[in-house]
Amino acid sequence: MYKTISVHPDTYQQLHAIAAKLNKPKAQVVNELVQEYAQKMTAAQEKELQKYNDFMAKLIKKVRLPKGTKVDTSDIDRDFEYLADTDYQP
Amino acid sequence: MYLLDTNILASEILKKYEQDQKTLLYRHFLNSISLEKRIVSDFILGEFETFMLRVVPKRYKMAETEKNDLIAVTHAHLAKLIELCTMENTTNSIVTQALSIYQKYAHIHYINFTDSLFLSCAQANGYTILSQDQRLTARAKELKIKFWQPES
Repeated sequence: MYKTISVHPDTYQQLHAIAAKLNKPKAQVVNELVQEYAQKMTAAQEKELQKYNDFMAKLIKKVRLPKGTKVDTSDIDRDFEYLADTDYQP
Repeated sequence: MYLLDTNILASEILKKYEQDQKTLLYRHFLNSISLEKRIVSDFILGEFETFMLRVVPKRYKMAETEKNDLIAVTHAHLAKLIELCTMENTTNSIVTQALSIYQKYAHIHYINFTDSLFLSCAQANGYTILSQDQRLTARAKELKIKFWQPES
């Protein structure tokens, strides 16, 4: 799937110059730049994910359902049927 | 990039009470996805909030104090998702395409409008769907929308 984006004319000219210098299509240059950026962000992302997982572990501990409850989230539409019409009212 | 369904978000919170093999595989896969690659749409956040605050307490007959704890946990989870995941807004074209999907399945293999929006959002952006709902992934398959599921 291809998407169009708008960039500042100066950025486009720089992209054109880089692509010409490297003798590569502009799209390929953009792809490679994005990949490089993504790689640089990986370490930070891993750290952030670990922080998120720690945060979630604390939250999950606070959830208390009645003893013996087993949850099945594979068909939550079925669970919505437990609501009476009035449950949607404030 | 993975578009997360409501059941994936709910399952994350209700982890202690949902430990079947299939759910564990979904959870394991979710844990391998960086937060930036987790896409959460505005309407899914709405459905998630209603499910956690209105449906779960009723469905599982929760006591008032347990319900209040769940409300606090859901609020904190919502805020974290919005802060750290990639948000996706519903555009006019996504809504229009969702209506086509909804009408297509109105009489055979019914799916609700939220699910139609979900499929339309994934289709418009080329996202891979992450959902435990087998009805939804069956429709995704028909519409040639990518989805992840554990190998059987």
